[in-house]
Amino acid sequence: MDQPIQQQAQGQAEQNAAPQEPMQDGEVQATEQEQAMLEQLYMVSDSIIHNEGQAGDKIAEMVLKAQDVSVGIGNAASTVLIGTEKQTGKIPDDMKIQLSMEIIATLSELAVNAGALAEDEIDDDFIDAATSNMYSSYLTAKESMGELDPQELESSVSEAEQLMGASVRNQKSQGQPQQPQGGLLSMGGKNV
Amino acid sequence: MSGIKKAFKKAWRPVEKAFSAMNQFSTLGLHKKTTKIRRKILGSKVFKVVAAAVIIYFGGAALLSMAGGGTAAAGVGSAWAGAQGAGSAVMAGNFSGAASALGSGFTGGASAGAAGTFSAGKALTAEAIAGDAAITAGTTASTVATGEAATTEAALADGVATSADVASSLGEKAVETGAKQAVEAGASELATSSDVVSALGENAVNTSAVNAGGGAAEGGGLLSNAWNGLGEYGKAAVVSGGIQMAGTAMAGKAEQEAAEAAAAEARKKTYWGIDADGNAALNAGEINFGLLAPTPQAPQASTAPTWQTSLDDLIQRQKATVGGYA
Repeated sequence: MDQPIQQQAQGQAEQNAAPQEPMQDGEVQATEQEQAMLEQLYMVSDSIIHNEGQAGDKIAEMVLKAQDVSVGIGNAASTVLIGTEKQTGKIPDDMKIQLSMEIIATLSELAVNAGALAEDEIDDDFIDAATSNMYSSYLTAKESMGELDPQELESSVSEAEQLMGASVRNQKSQGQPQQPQGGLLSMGGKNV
Repeated sequence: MSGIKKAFKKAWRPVEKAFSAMNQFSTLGLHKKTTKIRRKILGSKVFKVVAAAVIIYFGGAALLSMAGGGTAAAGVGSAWAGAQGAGSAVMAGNFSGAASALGSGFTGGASAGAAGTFSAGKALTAEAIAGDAAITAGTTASTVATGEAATTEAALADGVATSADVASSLGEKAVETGAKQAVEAGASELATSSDVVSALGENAVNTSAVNAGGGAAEGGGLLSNAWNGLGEYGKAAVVSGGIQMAGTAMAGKAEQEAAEAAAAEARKKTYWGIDADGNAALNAGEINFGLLAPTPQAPQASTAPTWQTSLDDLIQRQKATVGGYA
């Protein structure tokens, strides 16, 4: 009896699964091993979010009681990410970024279900705000834990600067602010 | 290829596929309704761009602050001033918030402590957002009001009052709405800050109160003039200093109380029928093997909280670091 139900669920699952976006120029598909590792990491994050004890409640509280949901989701997401790191050990940067995206998506989904966020509020600005809050909260928490490695941070920032061709640090010496290079969406289409 | 570059060159399948069967099964189909939301975020093309911008903007600000002898959190707090998100800030070429980590007067605030400066930065952001609300009200007058509100050197209450004044003098209903939003946003932010500070000690509360409401409104006295002369980061430094002092004082008081409690417990103990004061105890003559009426253990006076070990503690730490939920 169970088999048809499971098959049906599996079939529905495949229908509901988010289709993978077409790859951009220069993108490389993650290997099956990397994909499996990401899924394992996500399982840990998901179990923290849905923890039946106080931790799960408090993470929900962080999101639902925030005056600005993007702040709440950012703080909660960084907490979940650090919690996942605590349980699994150091996570490679490339996976950490994808995992962050998955965590933000999960928390946003829960916030919409709970009525704290409207579906049409999830736009580029929301993603920008939630991600910014998550990273700033992550840096702050890591520093207060004494786990912020300045060399690692320096390396990450340098790489991101090379990728984007923009730098806060060089801006100070340049003196003049850069001119806007078009909207966020157009940059997203071109560079990624 | 290094980690960050890999991250932006690598394509992943959404994790959802692996779990949706389980979720469908356990949520009786409820999950189906929400996959659309996940798709929207996971399919977003801006996420990676935003992630890179976030690293450049906040990471860069953190490095600048650390290079200047401050903390990463202080740099992050500074970067929040005037920004609603790193993506939009970087795309617009607006690095002023992040680059101000090397500005004059910043180092004091930075070295004074992370939490206070971070909150200050967030408060300034709230002010900037409130100013934007006035812009969207859409009149020339509202632009004037926003210009005043966007002067981040002013105290939060000052900026709000200025917006409200301009709005009322011009009689623009739209501006009033913007100003009202500014007042509400400012008030709630202040409530959050003062809640955090009040939990830490009365000195800090007083300092915060001056910072929040009295900075510009009570412009007369010597102290208030000196306070206004501190500048935003100087004020943050004073508040942080107050918080640290109050925290130290509270820790000392707690230790003293714990030691007194332990001493009181020790005095109650009897050793072969005689208590610590030399009096014969009620159970004199009886040998106490510790089986009857066991005495409670004295509380640990100076154990540092090992918050890293539990997720709950981590969450508490996060709340304390970012100044509550908001």
